[in-house]
Amino acid sequence: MKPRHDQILDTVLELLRGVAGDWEFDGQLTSDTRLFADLAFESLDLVVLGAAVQEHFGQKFPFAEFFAEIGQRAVRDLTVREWVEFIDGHLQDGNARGLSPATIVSEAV
Amino acid sequence: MAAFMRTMDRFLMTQQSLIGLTHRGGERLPFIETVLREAAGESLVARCTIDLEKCPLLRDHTLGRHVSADDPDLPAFPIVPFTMLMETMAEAAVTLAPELRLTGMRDVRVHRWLAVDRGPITLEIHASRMQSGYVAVRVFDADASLETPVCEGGIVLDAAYPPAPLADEVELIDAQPYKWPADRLYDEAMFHGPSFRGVASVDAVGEAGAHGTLVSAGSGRSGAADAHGFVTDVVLLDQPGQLVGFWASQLLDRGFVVLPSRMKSLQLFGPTPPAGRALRCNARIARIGDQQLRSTLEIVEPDGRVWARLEGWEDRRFDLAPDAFRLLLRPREVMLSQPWNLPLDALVLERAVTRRIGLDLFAPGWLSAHGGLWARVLASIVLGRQERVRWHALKLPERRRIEWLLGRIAAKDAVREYVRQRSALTLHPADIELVPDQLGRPVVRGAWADRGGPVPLISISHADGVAVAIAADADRAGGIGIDLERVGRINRRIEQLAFTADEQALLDSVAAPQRDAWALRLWCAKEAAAKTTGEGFAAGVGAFAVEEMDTRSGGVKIRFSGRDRERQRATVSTAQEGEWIVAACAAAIREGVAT
Repeated sequence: MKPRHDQILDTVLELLRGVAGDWEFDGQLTSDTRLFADLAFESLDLVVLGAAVQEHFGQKFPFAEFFAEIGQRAVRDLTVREWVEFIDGHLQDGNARGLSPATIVSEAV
Repeated sequence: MAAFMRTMDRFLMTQQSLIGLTHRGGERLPFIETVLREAAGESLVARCTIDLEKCPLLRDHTLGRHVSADDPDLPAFPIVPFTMLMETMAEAAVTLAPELRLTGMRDVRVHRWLAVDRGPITLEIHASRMQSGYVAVRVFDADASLETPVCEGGIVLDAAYPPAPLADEVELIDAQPYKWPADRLYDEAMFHGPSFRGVASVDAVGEAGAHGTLVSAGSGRSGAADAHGFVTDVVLLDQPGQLVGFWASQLLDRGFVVLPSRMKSLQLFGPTPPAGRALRCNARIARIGDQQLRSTLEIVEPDGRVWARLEGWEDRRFDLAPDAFRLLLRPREVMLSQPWNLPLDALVLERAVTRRIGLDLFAPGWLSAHGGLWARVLASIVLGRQERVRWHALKLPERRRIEWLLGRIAAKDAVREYVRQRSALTLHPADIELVPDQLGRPVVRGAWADRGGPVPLISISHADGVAVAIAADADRAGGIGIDLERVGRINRRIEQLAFTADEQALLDSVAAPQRDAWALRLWCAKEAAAKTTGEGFAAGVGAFAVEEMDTRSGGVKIRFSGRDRERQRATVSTAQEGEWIVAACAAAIREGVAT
């Protein structure tokens, strides 16, 4: 069964914390957190996060198109909410292999 | 003695001019600016705002100095003196007990050092009279917290001063002369500006303490407001702590930068000595562990009797990297970064200046400890006025903020070295402003550049606590880009997202043990190429495509596509040094096109 939107959000937040490693966050991570402006993400962080998402859900996502679309924006940034909506929109039923996000990030980075 | 007299004259003249500036007249004490609540004679809540304009004394109480030639008023890191917080507390107590004299203080503790580097700060002072002659005071940083004070302590008042005892003659143990003569003390060992320079000479130091000569500036009169408006002598009371600092700079080979954090008691035996009087200062100093000093300090009148006795004076020791200390003293001469001579083979890159700096220069956690105190100090030394605004507004995770700062240091040093090689100019880091152009690329600005100094192209990258910057000739390249990553960030799964099928096929030709490192080289090469345009990776994975790579030379050919740059190509130099992959790219100047 496909995970609910809030379950995807929880997963993404946990994967984000993993990618961000030992940074100390001043504020809480929320749906409105911007990856570049607030977390100082660099492009490779985005790719590492994408790989962790694919690993977690056990399927491929059209990240190349997603990243290219971000590149066309007037303000090149994206929020956690947009990331979750992208995953929700492309997630196929029956996926989510059940690997814990922490395991995946430790494998991926 | 001549040097002593010169120092004293200069100090007194500065004091006179500052007294003119800070004189307020009237009855209100300077730090009791707005009374919020008062039960006469019992309790008081008051506020005051402190900044460099209202409190010009702070300009002479900075960590670091001489940060700019082009903007002479640009302060280093103005830290509020411990004695100024003591004054704040004393004023509250005197307001509650105007009929008594201030004769001492008890257990004054500073929980957090305050500075006005980010602009004005507002103090809220809470005072309660516990007994006729004892007022408990807590001072809050109103913008931070009204629950946790930044300092607290008790103020002692009495109808008269107690009789002055004879001075305690401190046995110095292995006494030795001081390394700096009177007229060089503050140039070589301390940061204080003219109005705080009250130590006329350090006469001898030894294992157990120091003897010095002070000169009173008459900036406070215990129990009654003087021309400064102060009830204590903020400047004179600061001097014994300075003597500890001078002692530390000779006796300690590390951790010799000290800031006071606590005082068990202060006893005053008379009114503030008049301006110009020479006083002796005896310091008995003990090391507590390797991060603290505890001292008993006396200021002694010419008749051998004690005017002020400070007991249980505790200093926190800070372990500055030796280069960081030298940078604070002489920012124009010192570079914290190191040259990084990478095997970059394109002509433009060979002539470029590359510098790196890493967190490993500092003790672990040093830049983030104490509310980021030392990161703020460094920022106040190296950043120009506009950059400081940006730094203070930067809302990033702490580690990323520090990397941003390291990136600035590397870039400014690259520009300084570039300019030094090509002109007679020696630049302060703060006089090199790095501002983003409309494409987001950093651009070098400065008054020296407006006067015709050689201005390079600049690119910055940082990863995992290390920053690197490259400065290159603007007349040989249309843009410059550098990118840095630590080996191990890309593996096969990440590769599939990071590269096109053609690029992955190129990587298939690399032997397995080297593959991940080469994948990272290609990534960095694309990033470096993208940075020459200002678009970065956000233009899309396919916008900067790897066409060829040479695993022997490290050269990577990139094709730029999309937008208006079809058919443009660049060769990127890549290198691996230890666990670091670096790529640098100089884009060709495109005829007729402003890049």
